[in-house]
Parts: sequence; C-alpha cells; structure tokens
Amino acid sequence: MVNIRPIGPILVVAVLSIVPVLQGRIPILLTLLTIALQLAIVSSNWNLLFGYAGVWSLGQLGFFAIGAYSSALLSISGISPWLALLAGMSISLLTAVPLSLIALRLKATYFALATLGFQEVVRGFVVMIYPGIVFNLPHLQVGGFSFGAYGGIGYYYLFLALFLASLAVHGRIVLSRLGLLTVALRESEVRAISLGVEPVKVRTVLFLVSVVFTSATGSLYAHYTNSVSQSIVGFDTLLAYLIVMAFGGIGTFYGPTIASFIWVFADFGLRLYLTEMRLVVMGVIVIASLLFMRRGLVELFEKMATLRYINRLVTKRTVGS
Amino acid sequence: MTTDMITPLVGLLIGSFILGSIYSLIAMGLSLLWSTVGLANFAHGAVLVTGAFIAWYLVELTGFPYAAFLAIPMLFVLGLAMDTALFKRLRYQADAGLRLIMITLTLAIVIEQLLNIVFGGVRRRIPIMLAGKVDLGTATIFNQHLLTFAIAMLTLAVMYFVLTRTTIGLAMRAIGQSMLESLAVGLNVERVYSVTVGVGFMLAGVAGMLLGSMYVFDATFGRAPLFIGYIIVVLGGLGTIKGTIYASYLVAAIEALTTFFLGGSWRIAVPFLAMILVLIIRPRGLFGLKEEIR
Repeated sequence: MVNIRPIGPILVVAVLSIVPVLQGRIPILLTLLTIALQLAIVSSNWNLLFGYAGVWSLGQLGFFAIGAYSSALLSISGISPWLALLAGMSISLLTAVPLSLIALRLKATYFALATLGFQEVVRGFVVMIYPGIVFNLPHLQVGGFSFGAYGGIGYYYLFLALFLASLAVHGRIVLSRLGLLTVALRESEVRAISLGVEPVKVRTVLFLVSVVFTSATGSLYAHYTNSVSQSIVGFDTLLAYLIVMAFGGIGTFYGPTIASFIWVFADFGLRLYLTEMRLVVMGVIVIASLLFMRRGLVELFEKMATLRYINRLVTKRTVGS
Repeated sequence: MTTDMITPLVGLLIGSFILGSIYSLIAMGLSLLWSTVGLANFAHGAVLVTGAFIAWYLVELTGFPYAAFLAIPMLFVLGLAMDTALFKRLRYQADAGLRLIMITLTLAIVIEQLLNIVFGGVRRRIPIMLAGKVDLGTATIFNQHLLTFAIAMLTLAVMYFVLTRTTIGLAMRAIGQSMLESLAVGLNVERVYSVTVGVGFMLAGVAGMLLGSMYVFDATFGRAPLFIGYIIVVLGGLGTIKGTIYASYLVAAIEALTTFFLGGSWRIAVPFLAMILVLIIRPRGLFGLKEEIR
C-alpha cells in the first residue's frame, strides 16, 4: 500500500516557516529558499509526469513561460496582477488541453519530442510578441501590503503555500482511484487498457494538474523577479531542472524537492568559483546521477548505511516498488 | 503571385533542394540511432555543430579547404567513445528510455557550452572549397552549393548501399526489427550497436560540415537542424530509408516557403504543426510502415 510519511514534510514546513526570522542576519537565505521553493514546485510537478505517470513531457518550461509572460504583459498594461495570474493559468490550460489530447496518443518518446518542440514554439512565439526583456512588473499586493516588502517575505510564503498545495494535490492523487489507474497504466499499459482504463484521459488529467501548478509558479516568479526574458525557456534553465530531477531521483516523492534545496545552495557556491564551466559541471552531475544513481538521492541514502534512519524519516519511495 | 516574386522563389526552391539533401543525412542518422539502438538522440544537433567546428578548425589549421573531410572519421570515433562511455551502460535496462532522453538532452547542452569555451562565442564559417557560380537565367547557383549537393548525394548513395547491400547495414536494420532474433541468429549485437552510433554521429558530422560552409554558425546552430531532423523522421516514418529521403525534401520545401511567405521565425513552427497534423491523420508517418507511433 502507498505510504507517504507525513513526519518529514511537517518537520520541513516547521523549519521553513521559521526561516524568515533569520532574514535580518542572512539576507541571501530568503532569496535562496524562495528560489528553491520555486524549483521544487516545478520539478515535483514535472516528476509527477516523468516518474509517476510515465509521461515524458519536456515542455513544462513552455507552460512556465506562458504563465510568466501572460502575467508580465497583462500586468504592465494595467490589469490587476491577480487577474493576470488567473489569465496565465487559463491560457496554459487552453493550450495544454489540445496538446495533451493530441500528443498523449503518441508513444512516450514521440511525446517527449512533441513537447520539446512545443516548448520551442512557445519560445519563438514569446520572442515574436515581445522581443527582449519585460521590465518593471508591479509587485503582487493584498490590501496595502506589497509582497515585495521586507526582502520579499510575502513571495516566500506565497511560494511555500503553492508548494504545500501542490504537495497536497499530489498526495491526494497518489491515494486516489486516478493514482491507481495511472500506476496500472505505467506498469502494464496493455493489460490496463484491456481492463477498460483509458490512457489518454487518465494522463491528460495528470498533465493538466502539473500544467496548472507550473504556470502559476511562472506567474509568481515573474512578479518576484520583476522581469521576464526568454532565458526562462532556455536550455540552460532546463538543465537546472534536469539536475534536480536526476539527482533527486525520478519517481521518488520527495527526491526532487530535497534536491531543489540542496542544489540552490550548491549552485550559489558554484557560481562563486565557476563561470563558463558551471553548465559543464551541472551536465556531469546530471549524467552521473542518471548512470549511477537510478533512484537519485534515495539510492544515495540507501548506500550510506549510517544515514538510513534519515532516509526512513524523510524519503519514501512512492508507488510500484 | 506576381512575376517579381518568382525569381527569388526559384532560387529558394533550388536552395531547399540542396538543404533537403543535407537534412536527409541528419534524419537518416537520427532514424538509424532511434530504430536500431533505441536512442532518441537529442544531442544530434550539438554533434552536428561539433562536426562543423572541427572541420572549420582543421581548415584553419592546415590552410587546405579539403582538410574539412578529416572531421568525418573523427566524428565516427566520437560516436564510438560516447557509446562506450555512456549509452552502453544503459543497454538492456527496461526503464532506460527516459534516462537516455535526459542524458542526450544534457549532453547537447554540455557540448554546446564546451564548444563555446574551446572555440569562443564567435560565429564561424568554413571556407569554401570551390569558387565561382553558374548562371541559369532566373537564378544563379554557387559552385560550392553544387559541390555540397554532390557530397550529400554521394553520402546518401553510400548509406543506401550500405544499408541494403552490406552485412553490417543489414545487421543494423535487422536489429532494428528484432534485437532478440538478431541475437538468436548469431549477430554480434553489441558491436553493431557501437558501429551504428558511430555512423549516426558521422552522418551528423557530414551534415555539419556541409551546413557550416553554407551558413555562419555558432554553438547553438544545431538546435534548428535537430528539430527539423526529428520532424522528418516522424513524417517519413521511422526506419524507412526512402520515406526519410522524400520527407527531407518535403520539409525543406515547407521550410523555404514558410520563410518566404511568413518570415524566418516561423520556420520551425510550421513544419512542426505539419508533423502534429500528420501524426493525427497517419500515425505511421507519411511513408512509414514499420512502427505505429501511437
């Protein structure tokens, strides 16, 4: 039976909620944690498709960009940022529904290809409608409170809330009928179909779930950084997500999330020493993880016998094994 | 269409015929890697640019334009090395598909960055081998482009011969159809896999060398050919030699017409939408028979 231990996340959330108190002493900490949360939301939703559903989407950054650009362009033209956020999610969904209904009929590798192509099309499109960088986005506001105040504490909690919402939805999915159908399809597609499971329907629902969260994260990220450029759909950005998923472990429930936090701090150090070689080092980490740590961090933890109790505490492989 | 549009259009179509020949080399390499080795090579574009950079460097080093051809065997060796170092380790693993995709995608980014570091971010162009041009009245063709066309056609002919008449070529296609049965009749599957990766990289290298003498290129130059190559593979149908070649010219023509009527920023999007359309109507590709895509 599926068993997602809640102790780990509760502990982590407790720590994460206290962290901003340290803000006065270490200002960079809040920024790094905010970025880590953003990475964690996108990568865990990506991983839901990669590892859990067996849907090899390479187009997630396309939806991130749709969210970010919708928010950016609508809010600088004077529309309320909150409405722009909703608009971004709607546009993403409107794009994702036909894409998934068509492309999810394809075999996995062709789907990967089609979605990577989709991402390139999105990139071409955003460059065409707004070449260059969109600057001076307004901050999100509630009442008189700007989320950008006090070094962006508002955004930190906003990302945290979105992360927890995403985690809760994933948890529900794993335990639901939909989750069981997904696993059945992943483990033996032919048998599942012969028992009446409709693969396109089931996978479309999961795809749309991940699209909604990815797009919303894109919108928030645009407001958080005040600017949007086409670099958010670049191959370089893609590599950061690949690292988080490969190192964290594809198909492990908390792996990519934990890896997001590790990576943000590691990257902060890496940027101090490396400029051009940084991408190469990242690539080597991705490839080495994929070759030697098939289940990512989980495997690493398992190999380090002394850390076994931490493994029991925080990570637990989800389903199918 | 007015008459003054026809002249550039003729030139464009001749150009797309030359380009189509190069695309078929790219697509054939991709298709071979995919159907025989089971490797969806997202690094094909980066390999192509590597070929272009090596060819450029050899010409620059020796001052002899034909030194560019030395890049071709070097790419074959690169393919063998990649196969031994990376792809071999994931062979026969049931869940290797996604990890191979992630690895080749990463490899593409890493190779691009390494090329940037080694050769600098400057845009290059391989010096031409033949000067002069032929005047056809409505259009002129550069001798260099004719040579490019000849090299591409020769490579295609050699590949066609190898794949249909030689033992290693037949072995490649046999393994593509059924690895287990190939093993059962005594083929050295491991060796054929390695050679196939080498040949695939070599084809990308030839294409890179040819494209690099037609256009200025930088490290990211290979991305568009990668997408175009995959669109061709899907349109032509996986594993069919003739289908791949027909689809190459079709896509090159679509790309040329798109550039002419809609502008360069649509040159990937329109062939891509055509691919999606074909996948809906004919899931085996336009000319494909072997494998269902859905």
